[in-house]
Amino acid sequence: VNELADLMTAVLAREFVAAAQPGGIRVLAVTTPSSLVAGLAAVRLGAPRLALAVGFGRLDGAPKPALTLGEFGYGLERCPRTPAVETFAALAHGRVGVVVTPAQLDAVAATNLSRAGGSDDRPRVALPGSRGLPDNNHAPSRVWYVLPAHTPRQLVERVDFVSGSSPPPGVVRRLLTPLGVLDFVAGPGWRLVSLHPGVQVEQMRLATGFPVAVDGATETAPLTQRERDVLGEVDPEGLHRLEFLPPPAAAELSARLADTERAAWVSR
Amino acid sequence: VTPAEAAGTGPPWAADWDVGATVRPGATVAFGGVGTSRKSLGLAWALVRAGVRDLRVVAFLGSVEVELLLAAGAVAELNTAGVSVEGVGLAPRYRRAREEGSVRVVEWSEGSLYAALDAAARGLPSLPCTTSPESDVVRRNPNLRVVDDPFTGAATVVARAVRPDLALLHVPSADGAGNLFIDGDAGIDPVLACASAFVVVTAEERTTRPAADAAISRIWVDVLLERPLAAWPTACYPRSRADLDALRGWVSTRGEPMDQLDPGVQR
Repeated sequence: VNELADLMTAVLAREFVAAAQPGGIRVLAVTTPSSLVAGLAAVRLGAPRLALAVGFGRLDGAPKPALTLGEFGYGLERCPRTPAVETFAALAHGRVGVVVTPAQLDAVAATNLSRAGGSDDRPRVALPGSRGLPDNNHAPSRVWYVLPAHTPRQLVERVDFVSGSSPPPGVVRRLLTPLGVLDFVAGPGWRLVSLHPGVQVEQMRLATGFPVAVDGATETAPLTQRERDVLGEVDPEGLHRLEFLPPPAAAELSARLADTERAAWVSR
Repeated sequence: VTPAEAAGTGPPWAADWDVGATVRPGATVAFGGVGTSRKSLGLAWALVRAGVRDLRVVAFLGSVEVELLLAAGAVAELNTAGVSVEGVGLAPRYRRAREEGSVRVVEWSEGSLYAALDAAARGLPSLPCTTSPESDVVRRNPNLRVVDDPFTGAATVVARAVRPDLALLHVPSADGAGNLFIDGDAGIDPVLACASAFVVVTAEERTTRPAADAAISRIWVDVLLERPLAAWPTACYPRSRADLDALRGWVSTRGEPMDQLDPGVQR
């Protein structure tokens, strides 16, 4: 599991490096532990000017790989204040990359973070709410869907509620799961880019609730020594593994990180 | 002597805030802060203690301030782009209110709710935003409409202005004149302050730092209270971190043990 979590984080870092080339994104909105660590790694692996956004008013932060520190881990004293309008401007002008983890993702790459089952007025399960999904899935910026599990419960034919609607023509959306990497473009739809080592096409198909074209798919390139080194440097505690571990192991890691961070805080 | 220094420590600094004189049932009340950072639980409690009901609450990204008002039965309508106790779990009372249909929840996206507040700040009836016209959020929210842009003809979402009667903010510090300093993420607090008819602020402390560094000018501040840790159990950088044990406790308990969220009881 650790190997897979490392590979997924490295794949994400490769994505960020490729997206941050001239004419591409300038800001990565840090939203999850793995996107934070992948962002830190991308800066060292070929995107030295990529800014890491840590809030509406801080588009260019210096975050530590930490779980419990919140703003205390963002290096804010060294970062410019950015008014909220810059967040929306960067999104509108294709300058932002953002990782999202919707509860459901469907055949046309619509996303859902509002409700599972039931009706609009009486959800079976009320989720947090659509947050930025109706804005960012529609934007010319980059969006990566990162799901800790690849199951037909999350990857559905049609979402129960459209938070983010199908992306506009021409923009690429990419999905990263424990099974592989998939691309979505409006029109042709979903296409398999690569399967992680050991994963079979049939396994991926069975776990996916919508059709996926598989022609030309490859195997995900294994972790390089350089990537392994960089992940170790930027995240010695292994924070990036948290969202991919099974619940007991995740709880254990989470408790260890909390202790480490509490000790670091007390010793300040 | 700068205007800030000349103003000394008079208004908007106050010893207390008379909730009853300011807040009517049915009032629109907006909270500053983002997620589990800088939520003025102290002012939320002031509303609860005053017995204010039927509030129309605006929480851009809400957490325990929404939970407290729901637990107190003070909410008639909730406007939000999302409510959760970030990193700790879902917000149980918000979840139950939606699943039982007991409170009207008006769902926005971050971009459209920002536009609605920005419209109010600018004195406009509405503002367009980049939110997707195809989102169910737009279909469901009566304050969002899809129109043809008059210049390009493009289908565009327009957000009706939301002008809160009251904004409740918590900041790390304020100077003698009432300028507000926010060392961490200001979130949408600056636009909220300009959008709202009346602004009440709790500050961790008084400061003499240069007014040029202020995030929000004193001209928007109506009542300012010195209330250390009034955002507890949410964070207020650089003074206090989120109290994760308290947040976990709130998420995991059933019933309505509201004093779990009372800074006065718990500190």
